[in-house]
Amino acid sequence: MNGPNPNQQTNWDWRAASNFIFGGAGSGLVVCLVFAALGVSYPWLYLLVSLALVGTGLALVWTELGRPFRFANVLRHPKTSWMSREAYAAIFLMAFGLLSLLSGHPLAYFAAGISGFAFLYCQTRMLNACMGIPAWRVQTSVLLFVSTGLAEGASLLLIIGYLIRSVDQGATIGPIAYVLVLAFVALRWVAWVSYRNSLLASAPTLVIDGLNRFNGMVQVLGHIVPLILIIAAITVPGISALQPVMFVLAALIALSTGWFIKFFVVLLIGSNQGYAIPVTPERGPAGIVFCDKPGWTQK
Amino acid sequence: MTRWAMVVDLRRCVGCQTCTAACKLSNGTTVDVQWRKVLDMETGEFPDVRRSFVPVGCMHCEDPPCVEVCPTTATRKRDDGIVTMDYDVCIGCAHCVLACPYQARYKVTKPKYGYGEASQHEVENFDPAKIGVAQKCTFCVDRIDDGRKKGLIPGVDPEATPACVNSCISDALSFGDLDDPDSKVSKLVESSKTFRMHEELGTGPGVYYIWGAGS
Repeated sequence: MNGPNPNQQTNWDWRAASNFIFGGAGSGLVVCLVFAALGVSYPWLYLLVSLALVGTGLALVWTELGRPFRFANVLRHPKTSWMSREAYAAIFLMAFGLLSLLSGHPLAYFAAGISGFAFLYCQTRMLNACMGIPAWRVQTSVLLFVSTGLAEGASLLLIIGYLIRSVDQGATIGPIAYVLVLAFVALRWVAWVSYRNSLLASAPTLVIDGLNRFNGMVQVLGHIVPLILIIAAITVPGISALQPVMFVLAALIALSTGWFIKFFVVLLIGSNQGYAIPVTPERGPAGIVFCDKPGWTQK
Repeated sequence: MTRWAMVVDLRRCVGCQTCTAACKLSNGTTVDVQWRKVLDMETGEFPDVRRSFVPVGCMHCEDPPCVEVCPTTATRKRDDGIVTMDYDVCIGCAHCVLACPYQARYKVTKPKYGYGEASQHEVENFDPAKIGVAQKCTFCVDRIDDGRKKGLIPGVDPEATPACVNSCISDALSFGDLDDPDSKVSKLVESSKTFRMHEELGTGPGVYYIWGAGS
């Protein structure tokens, strides 16, 4: 059927994508900081980076609002709106983050970590609630965005840890940071495969084309390579000198892949539903025709 | 109870876009914004081809995803099924635009005119409240409410009926109370073969499309 096929949404641009990119990574970092049981030197520095990332994402998305000075209205509908809930989670994250910075108390860090996970989850469900966008409304997008947020957070934990150590040789890096990267990158790999499979079953051709185009890169470069790097750094004997480089390289790849996935999902395969009629009208002697959805691979 | 609904007879629609023009005139929508529009869809392959004209707009769903996602409560659903917009509360986040599977919502960020400078008609119809916020078809809710106060019946009396329905040259569009078994829309749905668009998504659209005779 020819006609008004699905096309890429344009209402959420790079600024909205940045909220997922920076907000997801920042909230993932504060969660991973708690996962690492704060076993790092200068935990406040990690937290500062986390809050800065979340704040940057929110500031960018604020500039996209049509009526930015009414922003407080975003808090009015937590009963059903994931965007309202995300806003509340952001307030708690910032409040507990500030408390952690001022007090240094582990409980405050723990509360910030919980708020960070809530922020990440709300953000993910916010995307998932967009029923008009087939590539977002699939349930598999939730695991993909949560897992990549955590993978990015773990990657940042590792990268920042080694950056600090390059200045202070005695600084401790999160003792399980590389394990977190390993676990969350593996989880994201599963989530990506599951996400792609769920869309291959039924989606606009624009989405399928995009998934097929970048699947190899995302799976091989974005997941297999960092996993091999970390596993090799841990298991291959005699390369301890290379270990930091391998860890940081793996983390950088995992981080940039996560950011690419979000950019890709929001800005490249964010196709709308399009229009469809299941059957043509009966008119004259011509008879009817049962129709597929225009611009879709399957019904 | 009352459930306002629209019935579109696809056998009758000729794709003249008069409903589109009537809606624009009545609601003062700007360039690139069509709360009501008519799709021109071709089906099949030569020589077995069909052409269908499909009026679309806000479906005023039973379970509207736009209401659920709206963080401000600017989008609401009334008891009579009409999904409304409060332009003074909306922050223009466009979440509802993306939640709607019918592409029925628009966000206009700055005034835009058909021929560069605003015509007299565009100046008269310009509504600054609609800039930077989400907007969509309201089933001409003001006409319905005002008409009912005067004792008129929406779908029967033109003064209380959406502009697009009034303007339809082929009587393809009908409007009325689906909960009233004697209304025109109830009888049409009862006596015709109908579908609702993207019904598989579970939104429960309030617009029915007639494609054939008989139930």
